[in-house]
Amino acid sequence: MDLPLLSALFLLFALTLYVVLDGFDLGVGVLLFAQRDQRVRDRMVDAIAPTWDGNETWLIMAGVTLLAGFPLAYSVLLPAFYLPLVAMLLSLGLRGVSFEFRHHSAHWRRRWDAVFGGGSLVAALAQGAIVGGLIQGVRIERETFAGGPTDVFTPFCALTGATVLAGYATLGAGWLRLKGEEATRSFAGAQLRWLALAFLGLTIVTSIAAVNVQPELALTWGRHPVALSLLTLAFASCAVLIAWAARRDDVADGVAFALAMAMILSGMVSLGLAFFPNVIPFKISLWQAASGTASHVFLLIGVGLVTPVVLGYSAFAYSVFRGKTPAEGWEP
Amino acid sequence: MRRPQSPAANVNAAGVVSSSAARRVAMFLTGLAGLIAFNVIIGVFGLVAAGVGLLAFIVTALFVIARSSRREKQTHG
Amino acid sequence: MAELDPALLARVQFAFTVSFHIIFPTMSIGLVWFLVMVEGLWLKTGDLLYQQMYRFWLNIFAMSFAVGVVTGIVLSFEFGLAFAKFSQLAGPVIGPLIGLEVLTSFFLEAGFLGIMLFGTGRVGPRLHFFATCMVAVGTIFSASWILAANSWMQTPDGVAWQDGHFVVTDWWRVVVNPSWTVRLPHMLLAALLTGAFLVSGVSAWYLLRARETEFARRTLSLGMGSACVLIAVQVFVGDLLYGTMLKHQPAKMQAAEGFWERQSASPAPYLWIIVPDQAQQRNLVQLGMPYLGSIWLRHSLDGRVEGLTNTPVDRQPKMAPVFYSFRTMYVIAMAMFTLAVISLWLRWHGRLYSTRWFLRALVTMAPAGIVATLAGWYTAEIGRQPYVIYGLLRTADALSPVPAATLLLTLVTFVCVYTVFGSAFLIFTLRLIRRGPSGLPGHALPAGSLKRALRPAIGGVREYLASRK
Repeated sequence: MDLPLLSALFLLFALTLYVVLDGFDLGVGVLLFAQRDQRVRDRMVDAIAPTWDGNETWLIMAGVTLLAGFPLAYSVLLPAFYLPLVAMLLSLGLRGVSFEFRHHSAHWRRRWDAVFGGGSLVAALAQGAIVGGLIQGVRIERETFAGGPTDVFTPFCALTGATVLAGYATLGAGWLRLKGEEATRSFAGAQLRWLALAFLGLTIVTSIAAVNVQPELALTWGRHPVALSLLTLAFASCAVLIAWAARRDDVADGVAFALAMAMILSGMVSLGLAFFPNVIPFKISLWQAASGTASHVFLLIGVGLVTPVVLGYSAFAYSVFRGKTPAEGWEP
Repeated sequence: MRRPQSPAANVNAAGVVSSSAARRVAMFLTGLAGLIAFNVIIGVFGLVAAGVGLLAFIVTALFVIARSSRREKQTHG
Repeated sequence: MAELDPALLARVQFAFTVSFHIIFPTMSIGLVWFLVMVEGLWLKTGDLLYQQMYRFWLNIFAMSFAVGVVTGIVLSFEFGLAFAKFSQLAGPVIGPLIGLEVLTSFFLEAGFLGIMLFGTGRVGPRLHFFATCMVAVGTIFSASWILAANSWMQTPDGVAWQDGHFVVTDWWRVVVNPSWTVRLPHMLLAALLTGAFLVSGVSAWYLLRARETEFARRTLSLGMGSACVLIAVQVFVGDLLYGTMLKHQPAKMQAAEGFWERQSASPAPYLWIIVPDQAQQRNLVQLGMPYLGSIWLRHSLDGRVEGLTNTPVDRQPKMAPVFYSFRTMYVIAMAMFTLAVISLWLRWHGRLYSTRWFLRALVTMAPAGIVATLAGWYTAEIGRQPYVIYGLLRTADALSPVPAATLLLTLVTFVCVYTVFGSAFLIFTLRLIRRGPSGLPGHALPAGSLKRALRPAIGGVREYLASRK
C-alpha cells in the first residue's frame, strides 16, 4: 500500500474542504464592504458564525498533515511563502476575534466589521498569492529553500490573489443567497451576477498567464487534454448559469452555492492534475518528501478512525443551524 | 467605607467584618506550615506518606465544604 | 545598523507568540470545566442562579477561546516559519501527534462550540449540556496531544536516527515518554486552578462592593472549594515532576535552584535572591533561607544540592531566567495553598464571604494561575536550552532560511496585532465584569439592542422540559 500517496490524498481532501468551507466564510466577510446596512451586515455575520471555527480547522489539518507526512515540503514551502503566510495568519486571527468582539460594542461595531472584512480580504489575497507562488515555483538548493522572502511578490501572484478573492466572494454570495432572508438574499443575488462572471474572467486570464510563467503547465495540458477541457467547460458553464440564476425566484436558493462549489472544485482538481505527483510543484515528488512509514501509519490510522466521526458531528452541527438564518439573530 | 473603630471584629455598612492582626498572622502561618510539613513528611516518611497526608487534607476540605453548604442552605433557604 | 541575529529573533518571535497563546487555552480549560460543573448543577437542581452563572462565564469563555484558536493556528505554521530545520527533522515525530490533536480535539471543540454559544434556542437543555461537555473533553484531548509533543522534545524516546532523519521506532514510547505522564496532569491542574482563582477573584470583587451577592457567594464557594482539592493534588504532582526532571534534565533543575558548585554546602539553604554571573560560573549575590534547601530539595536535613557546573558550559541553560521563573511559579503555588487553607478555616467559622482582607487577597490572586503557568513554561522551555530537542538537536541548528530583517518585520507585526487581541479581550472582559451578571445581555443581539437575555419565561429546567412534552 502506497502510504505517502494516501497521506497526500488526505492532504488534498483537507485542503479542498478548507477552501470550500472557509471559502464562503471569507467570501461573506469580504462582501461586508459592499453592504451599507448594519442590520443586513449583522445577518451576514450570523449566517457564518456558528460554523466558522470548524471550517477554519481544516486549514490546520492540511498544514499539520504536510508537517507530519511531507516534512521536507513543509520546511521548504513555509519559509518560501513566509510573508503571505504571516499576513494570512494574522488576518485570519483578526477575523476570528472580531466574530466575538463585535458583539460587545454597538458603538464600535462598524469598525469591527471593517476589521472582519479587511481580515477576510487579506487572507483571501494571501492564499491566492501562495497558489501563484506554487505555480511559479520555488528555488531549492540541497533540500532547503534558497530564494528570498519577496519572491512571491510578482504581478502573477497578485493576479492569482485577485482570482481566489473573486472565487471566495462568489461562494460567499452563494451561501448568503441560500441562508439569507429578504434583504440579505436579494443583496446576495445582486452580487452573484457580476461576481461569477468576474471570477470566470480572472480565471481565464490567470490560466493564460500561468502557462507563460510556468512552461511545465503546457505539459499538463498534453497529459490530460480531455479532463482539463471538460473541467474548463464545466467551470465556464457554472459561471454562466450562476449569473443567469442569480436573481431568479423560480430557481432554488441553494443552486448558486452548489454551482459555485462546483467551480471551486473543478479549479482544485485542475491544479491537482497539474501538480501531481509533486508536493513541491514541478520539483519534488511526494515520495521524495515523505517521512518514514511509521509516521504515515500513525497519521492514517488516526485519520481513518476519526475523520468519519468528525464529518458526522460537523454535519450534525450544520444541521442544528439549518435553514434560513433567523432575522432576529441567534439569541434564545 | 467607614474605617473600623477598633482593631477587633467590626461590622461596617456592607456587613463585612475586619479581623485582628494576630488572627491574620496565625492564618498565614498555618498555610505556610502546611507546605513545609509536606516536604518534611516526604523526607522522613516518603512520598507515599505525603500523598496520604494530602489525601487527608482533601477529605477534610470536602467535609468542611459540605458542612458549610448545609449550614448555608439552612440559613438562606 | 547593528547585526541582527536571526537565531535570537526567531526565538523571541516564537517565545512571544507561544507565551501569548498559552494564556488563553489555560483560561479556556479552567473556565469550560467550571461551566460543565455549573450547567450540570443547573440541570440537577433547576436553580436559575446556576443558569445566570453559566451565561456570565460563557461570554468570557467565548472570547478567551476565540483568541486561543487564532493564536494557536499561528503556532501550527510557525514551526515552519521560524524553525524550518526543526520541522524537517522533527516533523515525522510531532507532526502525527499534532495531527491527532487536530482530529480528536480541535474539530470536537469547534463542532460543539457553535451549539454551546448559539444553540440554546435550537436544542434541548440536555443536548446543550452534552455540547458543553464535548467542548470540555476536547480541551483535555488537546492538552494531552500537545503535551505529548512538547514532552517528547524534553525527554525524547522511541526514535532512531537514520540517514540524517528521525525515524519513529515505537510510537508508544514517543507518546508515553518519561515526562508526559507527569507533565500532562501538571498542566491540566494548572489550567483548572487558573479558572478557580479567576472566578473566585471576580466574585471577591463583587462581594467587596456588596454587588451581585447571590451570584458571587455561590461562585466563590465553588471556586475556592475546587481550589482546595486542586492545589493539594498539584503540590503532589509538582513534586513528582521535579523528581522526574531532575533525573532526565538535570541541567534544568540545577539552573532552577541557583547553585553553581558541584555540591552545595550541607545543609543547603533555599535560595530566594541571586545575581548569577554565567560567564564566571558563580553568583555575585546569594540570599536564601538556611536548611530549607536540604529539606525541600533533598527531603533530608543535610542533603547537598547539585550545582550547574555539573553540566558542561556549552550545554548550560541561562540560570537567571530559569531560576526566577521557577521561583515565581513556586511562590504562587504556596500562595494558592495558603489561601486554600485559609478559605477552609473561614468557611468553618461562616466568615468566607465577609472577611475583607481575604477577599482583597483573592482579587489580587485572580490572574495568579496565568502568571504561574507562564512562569512554569519559561522554566521548562528556557531550561531545555541550548537544545530544542533535548540532547539531540540544538536550537541554533534548527532555524529557517529567512533573513533577520524579515523576522524583525514580522515580529513587530505580531506584537502589534496581538496587542490588539489582548487589549480588546481585556477591555471587553473588564466591561462584562463591571456590568455584572445582572446587567447581562447574554450573547448581545447582533442588531445592537442590548436586551436582557435572561428570559424569566424559560424558568427552571423542569418547567422547560414539561413545556416541551
